[in-house]
Amino acid sequence: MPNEPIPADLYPGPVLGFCELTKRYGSLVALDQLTLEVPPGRLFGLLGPNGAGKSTAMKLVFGLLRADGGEVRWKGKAVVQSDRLGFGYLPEERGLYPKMRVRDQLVYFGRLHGLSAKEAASRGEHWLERLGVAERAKDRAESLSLGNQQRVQLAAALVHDPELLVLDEPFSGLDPVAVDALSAVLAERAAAGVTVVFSSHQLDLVEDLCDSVAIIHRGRLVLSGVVRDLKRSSGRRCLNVVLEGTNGAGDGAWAAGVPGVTVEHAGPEGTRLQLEPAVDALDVLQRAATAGRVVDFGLELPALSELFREAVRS
Amino acid sequence: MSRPRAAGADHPVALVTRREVTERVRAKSFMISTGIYLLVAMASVVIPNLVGDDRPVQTVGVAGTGSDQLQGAIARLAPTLDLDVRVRRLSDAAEAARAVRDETVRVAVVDTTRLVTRGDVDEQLGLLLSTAAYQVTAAARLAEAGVSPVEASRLLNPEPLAVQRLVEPRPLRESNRPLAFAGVLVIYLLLLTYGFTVANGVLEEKSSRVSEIQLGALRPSQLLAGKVMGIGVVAVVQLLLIGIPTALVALAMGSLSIPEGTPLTMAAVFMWSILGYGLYSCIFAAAGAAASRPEDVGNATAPITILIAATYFMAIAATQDPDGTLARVASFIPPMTPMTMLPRAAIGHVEPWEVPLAILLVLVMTYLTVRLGARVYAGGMRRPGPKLKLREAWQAAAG
Repeated sequence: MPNEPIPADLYPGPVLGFCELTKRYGSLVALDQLTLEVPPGRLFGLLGPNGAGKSTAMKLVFGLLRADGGEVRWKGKAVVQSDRLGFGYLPEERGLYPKMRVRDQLVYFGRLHGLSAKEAASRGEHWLERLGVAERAKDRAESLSLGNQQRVQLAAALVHDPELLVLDEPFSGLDPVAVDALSAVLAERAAAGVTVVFSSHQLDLVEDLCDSVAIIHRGRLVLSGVVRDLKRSSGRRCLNVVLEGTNGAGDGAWAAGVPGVTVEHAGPEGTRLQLEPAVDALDVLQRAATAGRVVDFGLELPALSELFREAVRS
Repeated sequence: MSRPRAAGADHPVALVTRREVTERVRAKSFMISTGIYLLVAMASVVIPNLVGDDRPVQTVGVAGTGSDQLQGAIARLAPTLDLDVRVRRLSDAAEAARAVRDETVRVAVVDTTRLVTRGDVDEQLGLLLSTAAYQVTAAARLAEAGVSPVEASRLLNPEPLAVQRLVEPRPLRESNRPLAFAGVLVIYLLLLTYGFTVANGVLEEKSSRVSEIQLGALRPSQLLAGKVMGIGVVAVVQLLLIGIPTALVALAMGSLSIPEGTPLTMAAVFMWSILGYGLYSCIFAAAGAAASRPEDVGNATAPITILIAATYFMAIAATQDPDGTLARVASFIPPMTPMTMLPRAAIGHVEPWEVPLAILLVLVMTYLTVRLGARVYAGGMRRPGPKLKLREAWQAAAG
């Protein structure tokens, strides 16, 4: 059966590709020949400061904007309308019909994406149950709290069992419990072979959740890859040192003159240092010992947020 | 590679249409507005029936000599002047003056020579009384002169002039006028009400971003088509919910005098409502898509609403003068056709080719407004954020 579609998770190579994608709003360049590839069946974080072009890139996947150059590809070919029936989208600004009943909306969105009425009803029910809003199925969307509306919105993105999920800031406005619940759902979807692309400002969360990330800045890709590889390949490490009797040592002054060391943060709770690749951490510790008694220390790879800041700065 | 729709899946336009109809018909506002319109329509049928004939009865006093003859002459002449006059006999001039002052009679005639009144005399009534008095005094003089009563009567009641018509008259169908007038009002209200429903509905979808979820799964033209058709179906449902009970009540009220052209005129109202909605709805949709806030909708639609209001006044004029040049010209300007052709065809005279040609012109124009509206709509939906100039929306849709 040569025409049988290849499931996303078995697809060789990246499934979603942004190829030299350019989008201008008047004189403002939102995307400047953005080229980026997303591997299948992964949780993929799209990061970047405000105005970097994350939402624009996502809208281009759904044809909500017209690109000024380049194209979005799905499994190697330019995305066409029928591909999008298999995509799920959570827009940055949430959109539901305020006066429509929750269940009716899910059935409607499911059917628009090609499900039969019966299928749409049962899947809608499943996702409302799974996301913990089943008891609100008969209520109008406007009567739900913002958090619950967000769950319904997510159910609308999931109801047709998409192969690709594109979520614009899915965690914004959620409480920690809801963040955990959403993280679990996304991880489960990715494990089921769905390609999940989402944008976020909560870098700690992205670090915990994502296999791979891309950082875009001013419409261009500045860094992308598997999170662990990115951290290792940066060559940077962070050393946390806590000295006893912080008087005079808590400001990290003892480390100021050490070559290849940058004081990132200093305070009564300790000093956090960035070490250049060539610096031996033990030498730095010995230097610390001359300033006071070392009561605690730790060496770690840089946090994603540090890579992010560095990428955006350069 | 793409995902097919399931075997049992519906066409997206049908889904959008169905959603629009069920959600709107379910809404409280629909029930309320239908109820109000129904009450108004019922009242317009029932109240004239209760009030009945509006020709007022006028009481006239007669006193003194010649009262018998005068009373007879008034009774004979009143119907020819389309007056309903009751005569009261008064004993003398003093009582006549009192009755006029007390307003128990409107005017009084004393001795067939004097008219007693409180102020000015109604022109028609004055004409009636002076003619009657003249006939009475003239008959008395003729009798004195020895003219026989039969001869005198012939002299005083001459045969009306024989009319020789050079052009066959084409009377207006006056009986259709009230319904045509109501029909113009219905089309006017429908275009404005449902036009704004379309514009606001589009803006609501755009500004709540609910359109973004849908535009991934269907084309802008499909979302537009479903929206316009859905609201159109709601308009028809409302028209029927109001029209059918009103028509039934009109029948039950025993208005046996339902003019023979009524069913045809009602069908015409229905047809022109639908054609008018089709003509204007996509323009309203485009205005909604180019707006960013509800206030913008009013500005964006101002040219259309002014055109519709101007057409309404022209159509009202056409109910007065359906065969006039103004009505003829307006009925062939497509944006004005739905409201102005209705009274022309219902009350006045149209050639057999005129209505089909007007329909054709409206359909051609509708094709253009749908093309234009759909393009601006697509552009507007792709440009969330601040409101767009028409040119920007047009350009946003290009490429």
